[in-house]
Amino acid sequence: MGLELVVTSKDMTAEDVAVFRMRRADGGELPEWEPGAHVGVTVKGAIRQYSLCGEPSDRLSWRIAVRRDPEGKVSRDLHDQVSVGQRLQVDAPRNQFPLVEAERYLFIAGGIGITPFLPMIAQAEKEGKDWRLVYGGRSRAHMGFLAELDSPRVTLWPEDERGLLPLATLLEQVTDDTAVYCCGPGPLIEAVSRLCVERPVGSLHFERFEPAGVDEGAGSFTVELRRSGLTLEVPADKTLLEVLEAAGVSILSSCRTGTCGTCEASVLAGEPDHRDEILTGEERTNGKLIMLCVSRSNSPTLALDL
Amino acid sequence: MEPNDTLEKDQAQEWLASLTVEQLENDPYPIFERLRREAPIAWIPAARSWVASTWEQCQAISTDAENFRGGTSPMHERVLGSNHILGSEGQIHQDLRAAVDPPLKPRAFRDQLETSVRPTVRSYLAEILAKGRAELMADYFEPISVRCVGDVIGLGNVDSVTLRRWFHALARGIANTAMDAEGNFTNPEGFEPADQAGAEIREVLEPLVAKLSAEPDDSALSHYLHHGRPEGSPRTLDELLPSLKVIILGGLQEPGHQCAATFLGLTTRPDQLEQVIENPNLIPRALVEGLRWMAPVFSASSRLPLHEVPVEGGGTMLPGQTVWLSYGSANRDEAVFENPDVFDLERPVHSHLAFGAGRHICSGMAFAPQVARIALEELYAACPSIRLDPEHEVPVWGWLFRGPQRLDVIWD
Repeated sequence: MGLELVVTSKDMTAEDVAVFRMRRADGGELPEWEPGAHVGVTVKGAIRQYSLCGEPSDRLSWRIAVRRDPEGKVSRDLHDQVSVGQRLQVDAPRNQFPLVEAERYLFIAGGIGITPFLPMIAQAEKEGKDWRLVYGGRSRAHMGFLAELDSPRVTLWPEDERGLLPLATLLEQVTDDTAVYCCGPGPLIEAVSRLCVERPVGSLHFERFEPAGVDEGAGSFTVELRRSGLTLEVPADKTLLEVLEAAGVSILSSCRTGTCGTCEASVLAGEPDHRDEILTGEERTNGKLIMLCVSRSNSPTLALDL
Repeated sequence: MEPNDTLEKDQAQEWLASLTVEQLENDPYPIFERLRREAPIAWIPAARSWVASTWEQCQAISTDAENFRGGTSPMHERVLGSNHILGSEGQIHQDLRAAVDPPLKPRAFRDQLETSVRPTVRSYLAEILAKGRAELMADYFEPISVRCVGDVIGLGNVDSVTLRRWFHALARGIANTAMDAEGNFTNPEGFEPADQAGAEIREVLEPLVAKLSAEPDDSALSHYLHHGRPEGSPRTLDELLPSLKVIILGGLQEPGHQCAATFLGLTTRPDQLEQVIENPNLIPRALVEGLRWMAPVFSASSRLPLHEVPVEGGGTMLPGQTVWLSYGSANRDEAVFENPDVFDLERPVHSHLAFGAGRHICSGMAFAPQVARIALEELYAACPSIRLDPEHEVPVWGWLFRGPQRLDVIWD
């Protein structure tokens, strides 16, 4: 069940990025979370995920940052209509991007993908780890949180000044004991994944923030139906359920918005990107079940028992 | 305040004061359209209650546990008794939900759809096919609905005519809102059928509950009695009766009324009806749109303020006052849906509020649409030329519960 939080501050940290701080109406404690966690925020019935980017030790308030996407209804509403004092429906935090134990960290952020790294670098710093953040964006004016990132370990890479992120050079310098984290738009993740396949690194962790997609869908992926022997592509603008229906696979469904639980299926391989409001935290972590109407895939391929 | 504002305000007050329950029951749409525009939360003197009409307010109040508790009303208390699942909160509510929800989850009912629901649907279909014509509400949608839900909850021994009579009696009792200025019911005899039904329900359930208390089985009723209780100490009938009446009232009629709303909606779009008949895979989408277009539980979900809650635009909601959440109106909110009054299969996917939202969201939200799907699948497959009988009017009635009262149809 979700929480109802009151917006206590709303500030612009970049030209199109608003930072919201929220707390419980009764001032009570919020659930615990760890760096990398995100929360679902529901606006007018539509739910979108945002990384928590405040201090995990602050149990009374949460901070999220929202990039205004003119095509994305939720981000638009959050920017244009939600103000201090208003209430937001927020889900309990979930973490699909946890900070693993490592000696060294390389964080690569693209645009609004900076958000999960803010608590991560705070933790790495506290633990005395050797960390480095390379942060790219369209221009300084479009890059949020610059004031908080005043450290010799941070390299800013505004595209209008320095061009695209020097990914090949960065990854070449990576040692085996380095955990590489990447968060940002799809093309950045794909470039980093490709380079890491060519030149394996210690460990790679990524979270996809689609520029137009955090709000309206996400990247494409392949779904394998092991029982019927079908392999289908799920494009970014179609849901898994729609693709299965179009292929003539018979699926029970009802609400199509991730609330009734009718279209549940079993996952045999791959990592689901859960976007429903049904599964419990434990069921999500287990990754064995998926609601086909809204959920997608974090892995390039998802195999289902259908 | 400017004089003009005062004048407008007075006119608005006058309009609200002159509204009658009959107007709301007969044609709520223009009234709610104005309410959404002028007073998203309004005091309706004729109903002696507040009504929330916009998507934003319905969504906000339904999910607000800090300022509102689960809804009940003087009529609910009168007809159902106290401590029913809709009006309870906290541990009591969680326990009741933990008992009521599991048998209605897709994982629990999935296997019964083809083995139990479809055969039931086919038996009612055979009856209307034999007659050659039908009044769908009485002959098909409602009997299917009460039979399928009744079977799932463990009322398999009660015939569908009785189940149908029970829910009509309870619903009319809840809708008997007329009160004088002191809050006394002005039409107390309006509760008689509901009281009669309540007595019958108790009479039927007493032996059932006695049996299941001693010998649990896999029915939902048995689950309600034993779930989360130490062995040998099941819930009592008195504890459960108000909530069981909620299920009989809300649960039994909803799949049928979802069918009715969807069937009627499709008659307004012959092109889309044709598509649905040709491709039955579109039925689930049509059912979602049917619920949006004419939410059967139109305004009958409610909340009670826990303390004084100020209303934007003037007034204060007081503890003890009922706030009706008009999901039927929220589902036609211009701010959320384009051309909201039009039934349209092609709408982009969007949630609707016909099942409510938050901790009191409908327990049957997954089961009801499956019963409705199978009922429409079978009906359209058997009678692809089915249409409204031009000889008959389609009376649509109600503002707490809304739907066609009759659907006379013919086919070739």
